[in-house]
Amino acid sequence: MTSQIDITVTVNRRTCRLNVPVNRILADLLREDLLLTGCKIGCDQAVCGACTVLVDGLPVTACTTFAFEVDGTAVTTIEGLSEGGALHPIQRAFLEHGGFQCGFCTPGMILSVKALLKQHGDPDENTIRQWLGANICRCTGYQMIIEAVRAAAGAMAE
Amino acid sequence: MQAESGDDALFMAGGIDLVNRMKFGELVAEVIYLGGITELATIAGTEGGLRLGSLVTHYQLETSAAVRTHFPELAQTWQDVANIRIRCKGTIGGNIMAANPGYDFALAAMAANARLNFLGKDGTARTVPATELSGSIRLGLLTAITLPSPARLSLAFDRSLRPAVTLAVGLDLELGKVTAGRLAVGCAFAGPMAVTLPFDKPLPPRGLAQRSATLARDLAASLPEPLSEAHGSAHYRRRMIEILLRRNLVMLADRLA
Repeated sequence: MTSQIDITVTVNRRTCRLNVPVNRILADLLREDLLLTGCKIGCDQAVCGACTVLVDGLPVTACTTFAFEVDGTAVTTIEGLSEGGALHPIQRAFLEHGGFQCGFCTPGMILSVKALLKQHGDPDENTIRQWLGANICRCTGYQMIIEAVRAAAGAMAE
Repeated sequence: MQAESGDDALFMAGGIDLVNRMKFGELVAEVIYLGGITELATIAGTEGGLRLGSLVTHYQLETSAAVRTHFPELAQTWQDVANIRIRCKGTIGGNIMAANPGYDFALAAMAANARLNFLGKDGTARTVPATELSGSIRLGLLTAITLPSPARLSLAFDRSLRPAVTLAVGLDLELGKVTAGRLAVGCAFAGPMAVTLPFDKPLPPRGLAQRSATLARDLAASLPEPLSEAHGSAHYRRRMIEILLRRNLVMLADRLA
């Protein structure tokens, strides 16, 4: 059985050619090999959303994805969201609306919001709750997160 | 590829279930990754009904114009299945083949009396009814699920008591009468379970509503012993199956009237 596999993946706009164990989990690849520690591991079972990254724009749990699955795709982590040192409008909205406290869930939350706003430019509260329902935050109580999403949607529409 | 691989090789589609099982200690010798086979990820209307490729994701299902048009209850229900990340990656074929009683698509396929297309190791194609799902895992690669024509089928889903009981009901229609029906139950047994509703003759919607209590009581009583664990006792689950079935039969009868 093959134990290593070559993959080519674009991570945060940078092309990476990697040789990885076939059983390497994407979250470990990002955190340990590429030092992108913004991808957090919470439940490790695809439930809490802390490890959410975008694969070709869709939200994916990095903790239940093999590294070989992202061969040929574009992966975005929280480190790749800002450009030229400027915060992404979603990051700015979370900052301005107090959409985080301890910050552990925030990278996954923000990437889920990015995917949400790509599909629904002006989401209503129900849609926001539906998309973020499985991004678990133990600090904020969610209301400020929802307000941040609305603000980000408004800012991105301008 | 399966023919070249060992007998223990497993197909992997979205992989969420498989990775979780491996994390909980399941030993997997070899994986045959199906990602990128775009032919298995399409939804198309056919003469026999709506053909769903086995690699169609839950998100594709809920957002498909064809599914929304022909099976709106299915599209609506799928907006609440799992979470958005799982729906974006998880496939309906993987959902069926995992045979996990808590998963949902097997119930939809069973209630709809869908046909499952398999491709065997030797290249032989085989079609089996979803209601005979228990033995399907050894039939090879699941390639498609075909739902019957929506003109002859009415579906209802009830996930309100998950994780104790989930339920799907499918009724076959002909000339305005209900000719047959199926109940699929999730969460309550070791695997998804399908049973046929005992109609001795075609029923008009009003007749179905009138018989719903008796049908639900008798059917629930005829089921094997449900699981007894933290999410509910066997007695509770059997009682809830009866109540949810009766409620959904009445709702379907109202919809058809």
